[in-house]
Amino acid sequence: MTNKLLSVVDVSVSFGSGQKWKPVTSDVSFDIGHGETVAIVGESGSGKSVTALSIMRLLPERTTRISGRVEFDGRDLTAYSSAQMRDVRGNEIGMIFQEPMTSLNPTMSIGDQIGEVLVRHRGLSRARARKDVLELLARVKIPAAERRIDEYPHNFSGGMRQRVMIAMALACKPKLLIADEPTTALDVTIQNQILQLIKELQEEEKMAVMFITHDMGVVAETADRTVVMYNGRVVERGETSRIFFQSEEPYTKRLLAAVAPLDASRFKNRPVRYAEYGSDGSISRLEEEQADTVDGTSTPALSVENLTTRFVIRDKLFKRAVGKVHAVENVTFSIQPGETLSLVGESGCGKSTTGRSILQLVKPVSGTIRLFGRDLSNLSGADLRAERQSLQMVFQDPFASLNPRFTIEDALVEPMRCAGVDTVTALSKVPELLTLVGLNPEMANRYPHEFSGGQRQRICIARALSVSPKVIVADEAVSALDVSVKAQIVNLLLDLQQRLGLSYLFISHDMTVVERVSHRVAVMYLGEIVEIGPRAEVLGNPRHPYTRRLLSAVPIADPSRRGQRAAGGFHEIKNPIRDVDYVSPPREYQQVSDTHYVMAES
Amino acid sequence: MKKPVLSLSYAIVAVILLMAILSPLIASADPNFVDPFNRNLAPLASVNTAFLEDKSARLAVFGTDGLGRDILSRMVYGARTSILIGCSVTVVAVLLGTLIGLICGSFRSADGVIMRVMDGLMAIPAILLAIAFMTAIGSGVWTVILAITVVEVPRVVRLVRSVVLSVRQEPYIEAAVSLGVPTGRLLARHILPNAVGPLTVLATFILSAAILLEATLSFLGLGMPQDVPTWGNTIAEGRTLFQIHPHNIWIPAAFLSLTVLSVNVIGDGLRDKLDPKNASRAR
Repeated sequence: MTNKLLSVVDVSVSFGSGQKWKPVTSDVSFDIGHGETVAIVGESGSGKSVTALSIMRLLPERTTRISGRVEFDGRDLTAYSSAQMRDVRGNEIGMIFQEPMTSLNPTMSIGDQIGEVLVRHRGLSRARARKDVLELLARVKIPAAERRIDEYPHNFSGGMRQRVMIAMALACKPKLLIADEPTTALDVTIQNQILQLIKELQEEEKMAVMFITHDMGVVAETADRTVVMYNGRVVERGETSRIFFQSEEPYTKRLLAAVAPLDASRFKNRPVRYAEYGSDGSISRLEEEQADTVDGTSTPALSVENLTTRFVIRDKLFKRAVGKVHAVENVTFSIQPGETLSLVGESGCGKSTTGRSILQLVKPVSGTIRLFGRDLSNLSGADLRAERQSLQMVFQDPFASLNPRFTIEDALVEPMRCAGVDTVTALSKVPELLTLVGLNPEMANRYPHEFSGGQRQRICIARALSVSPKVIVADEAVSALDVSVKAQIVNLLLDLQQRLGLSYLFISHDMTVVERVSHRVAVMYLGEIVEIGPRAEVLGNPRHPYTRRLLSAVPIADPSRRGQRAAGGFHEIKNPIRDVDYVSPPREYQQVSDTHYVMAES
Repeated sequence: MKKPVLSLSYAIVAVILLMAILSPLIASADPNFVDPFNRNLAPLASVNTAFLEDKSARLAVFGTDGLGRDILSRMVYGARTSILIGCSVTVVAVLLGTLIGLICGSFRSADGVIMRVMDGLMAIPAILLAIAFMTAIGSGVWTVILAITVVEVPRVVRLVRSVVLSVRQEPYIEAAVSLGVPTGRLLARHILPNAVGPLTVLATFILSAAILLEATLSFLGLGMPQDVPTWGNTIAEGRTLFQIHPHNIWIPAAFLSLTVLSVNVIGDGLRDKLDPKNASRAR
């Protein structure tokens, strides 16, 4: 290839100091041509971000060693001085980061922040820079740019901030844009918009994009070529379609299996396990549908009626109520023993608050919650704690939801002790619980920091199971995990359901997982359920416009279907803040089929 | 030794502690024995034994005061008073402050009232507040301890309360609540351990502040009774002869400042050790 823009040759990075150096990446090589999109894919810790930072020379010099060559546009960047690098960064290579919330300076107006780049690299006057910034804001489709240019980052939503970041990265018309997980922190509908925006701008500018991501769906949507990284090494690189359809690498195959779309014709209404892989990369257990666990005839395990949770927003000075967040509004559903109901929606739609209200972690304003017919809403103190044992929760962040000072044994024994089990019995149950979630019972005396994210989530599940619950609320329980680990945890949850007859309320924004685990799906928007019904019907025959929009925004991990998705219209997610005396309009639900209901449009 | 100052501070505190515990063994004379023939001896002067029962030749290591009392012995017994008051105040203030802090952090209704009282206590200069207490209830060991404790408690309350409020936001606390852990156990086993590190550091600062405040009160004649040999009392009595016999002041002053300084250095050392961020930055 003669037309290389960037070539990375045998770049190895190690971190450390003095005598101790720990290799982070080794012999990473790949090329990016002019105007090409190359995706770097891998799980956390695979060295993909470090590679990007080593190209930009943004790693701390004293604690980092870099070997190898980075050629950009015919020049060797590794030989550049810090001053020369500053002329390259932001000028010839632009970069977008993962966290739009923290990558902007909160004390500068966005106009000044973008303008700074132009003043620095193009030597423009501030007045001239301002004109260019306005143009840039219009190009990244920020509405009312004239008015918003003087606003500060906190006035912008996550998606809008990422647009500002893109505008800043594009200000000097770079030849290469490095996008480090630019959409990971965003909701799917927003992610869709940002991906389209990057694609459009890339075509206009003839710019190359290096796209770092862990999401194979995003890769399938955007990349011409793909580099797969694992443990600091490049395991495979090539055309995206070849990687997806002809890869022989066990690791790549495993990554792909975890995002493979379900073939809807083969599966009906029951959850589907992920395929399991042996250490050599061959399939050791095929993807299969679970046996029927739902007990449709008895009383519901959990039934929620007209649940409403609101938070009052108070005036800082006079503590006067100035508004209310209608986080959960009139939510009604029930779950049979052995059934999984998925609650899906975008951030801020109230799905997590619903879960926490059910457990009485936040007090709902009104509504009844029944656990096997017994009302939880009026209980408190010891009675509540006793009843709540059969209702447990698994949280999103396995790192934060375990007390770092407790050994695994302490963490598992504590809920049993609080439930009145004596210490000897409680201790004797620990090995059993650990085996149940696929961990070695000998690990009981270790502390949480000695475990990986997936193992910790297993510990959290074991802890929830220690008091023999019947219903588990899984609040984004697999969202923070890497794709291959995610598949294992989902399989574990499905096996436990089969073995113990558990019911799950599975709260998630990740449609590829929801598609697999649920019997039924409920879609939430602005605190209300807009559509609820069996999985195949809601996902296959969505009736509410919001459900359709949500589903069409999910990237499909299949490069051959690229561009078949309807281009999502521009929209901002509204927030459910209302006046104090706001009365919610009465809602009516239309019955689509036997158990499929959709909110009537008002 | 990587940190010579820190090691030296530990050594000084160890010596002071030994002096306090073993006072009768270390002190060469009765600290209250008045000897008119040996008044205002300079440090290392030999003692006139003509009128004493014990005729063996000896030096007054730190000299004697205006009444002929041995300053070394007064320092050794003074250390006992300082350490007794310092440690009692620290223990009582930390226990009481932790209890009040936990209440403030856990119950919003109590928080407002208690914290306003604490703000009030902190608004008055510590020495003024202690003086007010002493004049109101009279002097004596227990009143000194009480007065200094009242001054120090608000600092502990603030610390514990802020730890409770910040740790309560941690997801593992919510996880514990959903697992059925009752409030008392939650506070004791999940929240309070997070306060142990900062409390240890604060305790050393309270210890040094209490020693200093006790000396100040004694110096002003409001602390321990005049006949108790304390560092503050010795400084107060030496004041009139300061121009002629300065050792009457600078020796007790040296004991006081070395002790307070060492305790503070140890506190800083503990803070660096307990805070991983600081430890790595200091290298």
